[in-house]
Amino acid sequence: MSLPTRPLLRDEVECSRKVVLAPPSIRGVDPVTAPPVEWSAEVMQLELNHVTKTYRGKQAVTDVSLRVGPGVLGLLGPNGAGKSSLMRILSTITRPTTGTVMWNGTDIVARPEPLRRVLGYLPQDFGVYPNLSAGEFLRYLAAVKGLTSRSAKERVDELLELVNLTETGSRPVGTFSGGMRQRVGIAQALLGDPELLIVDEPTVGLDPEERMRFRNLLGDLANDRIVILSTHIVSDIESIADDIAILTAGELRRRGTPEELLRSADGLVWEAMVPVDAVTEIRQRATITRTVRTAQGVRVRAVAHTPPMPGARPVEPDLEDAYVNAVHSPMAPAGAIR
Amino acid sequence: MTGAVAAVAMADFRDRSRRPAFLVTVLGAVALGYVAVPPVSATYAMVKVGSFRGLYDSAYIGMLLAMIGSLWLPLFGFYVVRSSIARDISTSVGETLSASPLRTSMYLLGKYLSNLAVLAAMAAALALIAPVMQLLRGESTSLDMTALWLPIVLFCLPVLTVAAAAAVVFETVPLLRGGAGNILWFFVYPSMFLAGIPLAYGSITAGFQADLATQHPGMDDEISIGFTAEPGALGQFTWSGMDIDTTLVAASAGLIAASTIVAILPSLWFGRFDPARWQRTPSHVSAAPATEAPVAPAFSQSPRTLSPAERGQSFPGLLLGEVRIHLGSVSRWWWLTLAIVTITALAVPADRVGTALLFAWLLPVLLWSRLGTLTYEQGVAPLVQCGVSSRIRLIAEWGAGVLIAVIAGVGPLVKMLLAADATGVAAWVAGATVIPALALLIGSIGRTARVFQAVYLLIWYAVLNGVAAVDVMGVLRTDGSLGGPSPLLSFGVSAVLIAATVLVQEIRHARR
Repeated sequence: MSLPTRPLLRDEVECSRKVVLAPPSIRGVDPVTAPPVEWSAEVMQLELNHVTKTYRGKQAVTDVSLRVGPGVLGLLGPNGAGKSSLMRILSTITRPTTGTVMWNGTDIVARPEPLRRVLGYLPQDFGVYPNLSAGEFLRYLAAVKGLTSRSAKERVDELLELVNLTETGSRPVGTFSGGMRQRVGIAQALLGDPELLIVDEPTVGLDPEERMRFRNLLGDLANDRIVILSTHIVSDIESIADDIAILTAGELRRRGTPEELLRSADGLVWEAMVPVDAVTEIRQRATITRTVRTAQGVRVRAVAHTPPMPGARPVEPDLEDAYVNAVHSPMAPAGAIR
Repeated sequence: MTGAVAAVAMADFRDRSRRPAFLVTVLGAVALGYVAVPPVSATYAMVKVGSFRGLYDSAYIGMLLAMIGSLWLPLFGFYVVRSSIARDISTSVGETLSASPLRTSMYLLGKYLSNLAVLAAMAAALALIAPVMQLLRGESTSLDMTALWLPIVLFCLPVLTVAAAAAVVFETVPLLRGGAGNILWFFVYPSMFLAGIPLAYGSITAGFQADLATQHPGMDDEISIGFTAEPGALGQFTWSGMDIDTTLVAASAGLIAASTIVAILPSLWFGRFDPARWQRTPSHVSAAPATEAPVAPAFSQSPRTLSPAERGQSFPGLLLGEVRIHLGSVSRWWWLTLAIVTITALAVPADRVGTALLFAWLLPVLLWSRLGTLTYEQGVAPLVQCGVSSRIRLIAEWGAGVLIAVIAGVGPLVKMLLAADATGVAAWVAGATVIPALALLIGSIGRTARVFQAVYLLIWYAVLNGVAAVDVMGVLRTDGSLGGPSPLLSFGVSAVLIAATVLVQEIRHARR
């Protein structure tokens, strides 16, 4: 591995894994024109260059550039931020209006097949063939992914065990609860032993214990593959993502490790006990991230550049504060993260 | 409650009228108006009295369009409007509404009014094209808007209320909710129309015949409404117009009132979107709350213990999957009916096996109609679109359609083999390939099952009535020879249809 010709980013120094490049507006480095960073040939790489997606004149994704390597990339953003549009572009279902997406050097817009062979994708919304059993449905999707019948049978049986649906037998998927159906979705995403696993709001319908186990599973998988986890639930990614991107209104707003994101909110988070009727007024001056009702009033936690309420004391930010800060603050300067 | 009914009707109508399909529907009505008033040189007629038609003045064109509209708009409009309640199920809007104080009868009334509004928009398109057609044909340049439009209001609109109400009723009866209802309507409505002609149009047709007898004494005066091929130009007579009396108006009002009552009648049994009361499980909706108690917590193992994924020949798995998907929804009644048809086909004389095949291949129409559509209807597209074998999947889906044809037509096939009827067998094989290919193309383009259902039923009906040009099944024979296209031609058409489907897929993929 040769040395990059620009200052090293922290990931490059600390990890032998893929480096993350944010858009020029964030880091002052154009990922396209900057001298290439070299990785060992066997390391997989997904690269987005100035990707924009427009639907009927409305921009869903605006000039997003990313370079992603093995590990978990947590994609955070409010509803309507463009996360699902970006996921669909990465999973080759939708073409970007402009920009390129490269998988190990291959343009997947022009040639999606190389990526599709190693892709596992769990969409936010998906249907099932309601009359098929989970096994039949998964075996069909295994064939769609090009698995041989023997391999399909083996993997389907193992995955049904992994998601604990073995006992459902011949019961039609159409009668499954939301959580069971989501587990079928997760199983199908893992069918092809994917090198790139894209999961869009994967924990919807899972119970708390399943969510925890699923997060661990993703973390386990991410040792030697790329996992992109899109969600608007901060707690879903804070324990497993070593790399977080925040998308707002189609634009990449922040990019960094959890620690870096936390630092970006240093000195901006405040707490105070206030009367109940003061909350509305505070909401106009600051972004409230939490309220707890007590006998003495309401304990308010808010993000603001100056103390937003009388008696406010600065507190340590958590990832949710950092996320709210990133979403609600104007476009962050490059130095805000690193 | 009137406000609630209006809100249901308006919301539903707005939702439908903003879809591209609505514009297509209205344009279809305009096209019907154009076709219904053929030029002198045309070799067909849609309304005729013996070998005559009326002079194209305002009175005749108005009545002609009212008659044609009464037959065709409810027949096809029914398919356009009948998904209103199903949409509320799939979008879960119904569950929200069912938790509101809105009464079921009011909800159904709103849906009925929305259906009627869509159908009325088609009738309005027909009314707008009426003066254009009169001027275009140029036989009378004197426009009388009352004479042009009143028949559409008095005759066509009331009949449209029947279709609007029937759509509501069909959606609330489990057996009629799916494709079986579509097929039933195709046969029931024309029968209702024919039976109703003497009641609704009795005085009109009598007026036609009286004017013809006065102007051309002794000529055949049999009335024909629908579509007939004509070897030569029709003669003309001048219709003196209709007399509006209170009986006519009362009959129209009575039909509207009866339809309205029929539309709200399902409130007696409609289950207000309680999933437990729906027999079939619609996409994305659980039939019943499933308990997860017997299932242990998931994700307790490491994914690293999984065996490696091996890629290679996956077509057999795809074909098997497609067959399972398409035959999985079939009820035991379907299999029972198939068994009866198969036994009948084996029992009939060899020269009647074609008719047996015609009926055998009516059975799979609902299954074929879902080729190319099911992936989208069930919301599975995001899962399969990023698969590696979209072309192979298409071929597998077509293969499943062929297999369905084989299963449904096995009785007639065996009979033909036993009779050493090589021509029949060749036509059978050609039919088994071309019909699924047509279904796949239509389904891939429109992504709705209804279009193929309508197209196939028209073809089937035409073959039943001896139209050899569309007989791809080899049903119509003259001295043992095929009356319709040769099997070779059908094979060629199959190849073209599959290629066209792949092309549609490629274009969609390129524009994704």
